[in-house]
Amino acid sequence: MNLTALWPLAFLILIPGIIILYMLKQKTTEYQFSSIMLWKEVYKNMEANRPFEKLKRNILMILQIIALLGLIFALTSPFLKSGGKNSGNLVLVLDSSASMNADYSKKLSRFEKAKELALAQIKKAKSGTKITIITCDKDVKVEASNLQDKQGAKAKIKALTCSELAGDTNPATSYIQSMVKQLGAYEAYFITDSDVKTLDLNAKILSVASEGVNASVDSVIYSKTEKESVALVKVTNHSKETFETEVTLYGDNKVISIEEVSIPPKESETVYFENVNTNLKVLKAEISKQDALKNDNTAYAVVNQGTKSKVVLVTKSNIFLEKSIQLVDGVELYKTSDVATLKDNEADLYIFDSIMPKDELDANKLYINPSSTDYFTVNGTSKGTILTTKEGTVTKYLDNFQFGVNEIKKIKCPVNAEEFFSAGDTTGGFYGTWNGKKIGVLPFDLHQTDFPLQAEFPIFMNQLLHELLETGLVPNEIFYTGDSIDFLANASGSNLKVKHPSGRKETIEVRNIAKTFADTKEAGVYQVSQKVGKKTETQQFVVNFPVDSESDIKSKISQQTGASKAFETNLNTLDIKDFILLLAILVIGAEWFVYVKEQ
Amino acid sequence: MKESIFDEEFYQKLNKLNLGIRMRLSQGQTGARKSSAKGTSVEFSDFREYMLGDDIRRIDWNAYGRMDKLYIKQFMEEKEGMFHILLDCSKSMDFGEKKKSVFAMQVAAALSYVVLNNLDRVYLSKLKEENVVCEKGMTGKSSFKKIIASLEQTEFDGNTNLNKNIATFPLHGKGVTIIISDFLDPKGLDEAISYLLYRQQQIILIQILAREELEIGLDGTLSLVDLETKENIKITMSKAAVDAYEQQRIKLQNHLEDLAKKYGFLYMQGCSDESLEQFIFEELKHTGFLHSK
Repeated sequence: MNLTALWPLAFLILIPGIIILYMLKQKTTEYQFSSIMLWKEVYKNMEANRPFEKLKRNILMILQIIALLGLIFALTSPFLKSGGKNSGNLVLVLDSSASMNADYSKKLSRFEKAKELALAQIKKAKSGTKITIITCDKDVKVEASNLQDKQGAKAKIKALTCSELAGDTNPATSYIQSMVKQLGAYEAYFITDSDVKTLDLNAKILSVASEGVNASVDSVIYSKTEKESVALVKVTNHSKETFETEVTLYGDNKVISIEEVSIPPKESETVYFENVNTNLKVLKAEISKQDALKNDNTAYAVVNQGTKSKVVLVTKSNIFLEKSIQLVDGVELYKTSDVATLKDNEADLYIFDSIMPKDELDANKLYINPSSTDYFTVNGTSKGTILTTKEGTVTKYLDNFQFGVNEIKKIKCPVNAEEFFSAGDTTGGFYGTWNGKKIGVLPFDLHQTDFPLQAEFPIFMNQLLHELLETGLVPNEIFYTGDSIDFLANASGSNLKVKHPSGRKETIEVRNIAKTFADTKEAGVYQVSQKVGKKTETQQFVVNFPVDSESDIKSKISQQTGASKAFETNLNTLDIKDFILLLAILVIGAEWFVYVKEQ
Repeated sequence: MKESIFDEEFYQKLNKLNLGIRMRLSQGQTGARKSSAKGTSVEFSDFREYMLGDDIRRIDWNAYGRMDKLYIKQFMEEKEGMFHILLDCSKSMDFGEKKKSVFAMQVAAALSYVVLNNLDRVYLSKLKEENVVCEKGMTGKSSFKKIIASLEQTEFDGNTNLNKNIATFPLHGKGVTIIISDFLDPKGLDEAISYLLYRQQQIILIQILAREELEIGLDGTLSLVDLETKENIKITMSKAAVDAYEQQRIKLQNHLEDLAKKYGFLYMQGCSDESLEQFIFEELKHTGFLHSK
């Protein structure tokens, strides 16, 4: 028999206290008696029955001590070993994906039930068992490893929360497989509502799948034409019964309209909301009927925000340039070599690579290896020039960068332009604004330089195109929980500020824009803002519940609790705390009985 | 306290004690008690033939005239009875709400009164520690005052050893020894009884116990302190303990009764809170020791 916790043994100090109390209580009063001759005989006779009499005389004290010992013993959580000698490892894998938010029973969610099951496994584990706790949603996360403190492990389990991310426990199997070699004896428990391929692991699946009616709001789409503006809400019934509900459409948190819908089993319905106000920013659709999974009853959409920037590349052939433009987020690239078809306002940016337009277009333009235009004049060429970077917005990450150009056109940097490359007396490149349009110039043929071969080239192009385009801060407006977002931050701007749906604010340093923003665990409307110069650009985007993978809660009941073929248990113990508590209560009852009888 | 022992009420009770003592004596000084011995009283007893040396004044000449033989007229000898009243003066007697000592002194006084009233001689002796404090033998009603005075001066203190006390007791010939005590002596009384029987004493044991000793009304765990030895003993007054005490008390009583039966003497028990008349007139009379005159 082992004890889970030793600290309750400190209460043993109470036992002398009980004895002292009894000794104090038994302090006798003196009574003068004529002769104790007869009493001596009485005492002698009682002495003959001494063990029993002594026991009888102090029976209350003895019962109290037994009860106290029982309670202390119960606090130590004693258990009997029921298996092998080695304590081994206990690996608990909890599915914390979005579907685990569904109701398991009226009072418990699946995840809460999973936590209960995990706690029960910890309780049953032998003392000294090394406990590893893993949660799985989109990613596998090791919450605790090799914990020998059962109380600490229980606290870890209790502190776990369920996410709204898509996922299951399957990725954990490969993780555990890699752990197995170091673990020795182990038992793995997958507590999930979905199928797990446990392969050859010594694993057992504890299913928390449950029956339940569920419907989800899959999407909200806003469509605006010259004639009308409509919102389309797609609602799917994942259950076997017809689902009738009201669908409420909110615009900027105000109710726009409510529609009733009846959806046959396993089917989807699209609800139309006509004449939606065109000045709204965020639409929210919600079904009112309560179902097993509440998290997927709401979906969001952002309206009236910028879309992707259209870039037209006019070139005969420039694969390096083409690739570097494609790498820029939020840009749709069109390529042509025919300048005759180009029209004003068809694209956000025109890039003329060694080809000049017949007529100047009223648009943002980047000239590469150009001839003279209205904005600048070419004064011949020079050969064998070394270009050096000049500190500026587009050369932010190109410190002390130099490259050689076989031939460069001599252009004087206009006064209202900002030079980014210097070629001695002439400029190596600049950009500026003319009549509200941004114009950039690279006065050399990219084929005549090794610059496109350098790592700095795509960085430079990215920054230059962001200067010439107004791309917005997010490449998309609708994401799903767990999606990573590459913010299109302006390198010259301030740090990005992200406001989560819960109101939590986060600052992302601009130098980290290469890193993706992955903290999209929360479904709802996010807001990102950046200050560039005096202007603050703010953009909203929505993160919706991953309905495709997580809303169909019934499809995840295919496998009930089961164990892998080779599953062997050697970590379980028999917890005798409850028995001892019961005994202690019985002893207290006996003490009460004796006390009443004695009175 | 002592003043209240022998008050007017007590004397009124004594006047009612018109009792005789059933005793046949053959020794002692001449007195008012008929003796088995032949003597010089006026009460005729028997005839016998004259033998040489007989007082010729006692020859019944009328018988000689009728029968031509010399007969001596025998008369009853009247002697006084010797009564030794031994009063246990140990501290244990000084116990009880109605003290055993008071009742014991009243019984001693009452018996003395009866003895003196029968023209017998009474020796009042007090058993103290290992000694016996003896008073001179007293006869005649006039001596009663002395007895009362002596009793009034009695101190109940220390402990007694009845066996040793009585062994040192100077007996004045054949007589009656009345021992008034609680007999709560661990060493018993057997040796004393043997000694008294050897000294041809008729023995009367009067055991006086307090109501508190007869009916234990104590509870809880008590440290009982012996009044004489100051020894103490810790007893929880459970029902079992009280029952065991009762058994021990009855065992002591039975032992004394057995001794009485075995050696043919009297034993009686009195409680300190009962009335003196009841004890004297009923209990002592029932034993046959006293009789109505």
